[in-house]
Amino acid sequence: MKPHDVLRQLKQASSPFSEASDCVGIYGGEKDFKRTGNRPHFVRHDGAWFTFTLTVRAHRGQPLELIAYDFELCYPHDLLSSIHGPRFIRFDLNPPWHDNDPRALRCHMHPGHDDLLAPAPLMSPLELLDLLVTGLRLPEEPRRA
Amino acid sequence: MKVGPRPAGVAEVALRLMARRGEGGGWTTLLLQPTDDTAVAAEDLADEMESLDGIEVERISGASDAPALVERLAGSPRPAVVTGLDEWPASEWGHLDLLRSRLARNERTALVVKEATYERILRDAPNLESWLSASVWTYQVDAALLTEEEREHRLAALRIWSGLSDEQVIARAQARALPADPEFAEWLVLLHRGDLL
Repeated sequence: MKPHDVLRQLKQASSPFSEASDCVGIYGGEKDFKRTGNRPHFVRHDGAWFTFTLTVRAHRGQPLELIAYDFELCYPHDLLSSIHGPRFIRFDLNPPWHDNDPRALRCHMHPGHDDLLAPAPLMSPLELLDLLVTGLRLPEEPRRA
Repeated sequence: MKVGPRPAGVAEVALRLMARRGEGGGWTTLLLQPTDDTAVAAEDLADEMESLDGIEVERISGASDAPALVERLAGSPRPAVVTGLDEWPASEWGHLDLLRSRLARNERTALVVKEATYERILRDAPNLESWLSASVWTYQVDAALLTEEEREHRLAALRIWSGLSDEQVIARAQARALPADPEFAEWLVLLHRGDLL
């Protein structure tokens, strides 16, 4: 992708709720609930694509407060034809709705299924971007037993 | 039809400028309309630059003349945002044109001026302008914001995904009964109800 194409995918929306505070949504591409690959997204050299959404609270003059995120990497079908791997990997940080939410699952990952989740470490958005851009590469050949 | 530098918000300008790390610095120029608030645009740009690199950005505002500007820039090893030069007369821009080699620094520098000022630079500091012209942007405060169509498109996708309406989401948020999915945080911001987060 060219730099201009990358920047064109980055958007934001804000919901100011006081003179000094905003809640801001930061969007990288468009969420693709059906994982068709037909929505705007970032594409890697291996053909895998990803999108992300961040929700932050901004107080003027202070660091941003992270409220929620979701970062999803999808593998195209042809990449999975010879390697049996998950169709997608997704990292979520849930918003802090419920005081009694099990802390381990507020931050979690979905390894290939929306209803299957496992605890994941809280990562910064840049760490997650680094992971999705440079990591999580499927091997060219399956590992031998 | 007016053709000029591409419009961009401060986030994009900051990202492009700060991505030049390791290339010996470089200048970028942000052009403002007469009605734009220079101080706000410059401060927002400096904030964005700092957030990207974690380095404090020097704010250089209102240098009295060309030698003073050169001295203030030379005195700082940090990335810088330069403003407050819109009242300079033609002679001062001509002087800066002569001193342009002393503007070379090992750090990234952003110049924030009104469009009319840049036209003066074109006329009175042509050598400086040819140096600046590699990276010039027209300030558009809402360049990175979702359009109304994009916002509605995202909301429609969320409604289909969840089977809920906007009103139901707001009601559940008020009752602190929303499911714990990050999509609902996105939804509330899109509805301008960040107060419920």
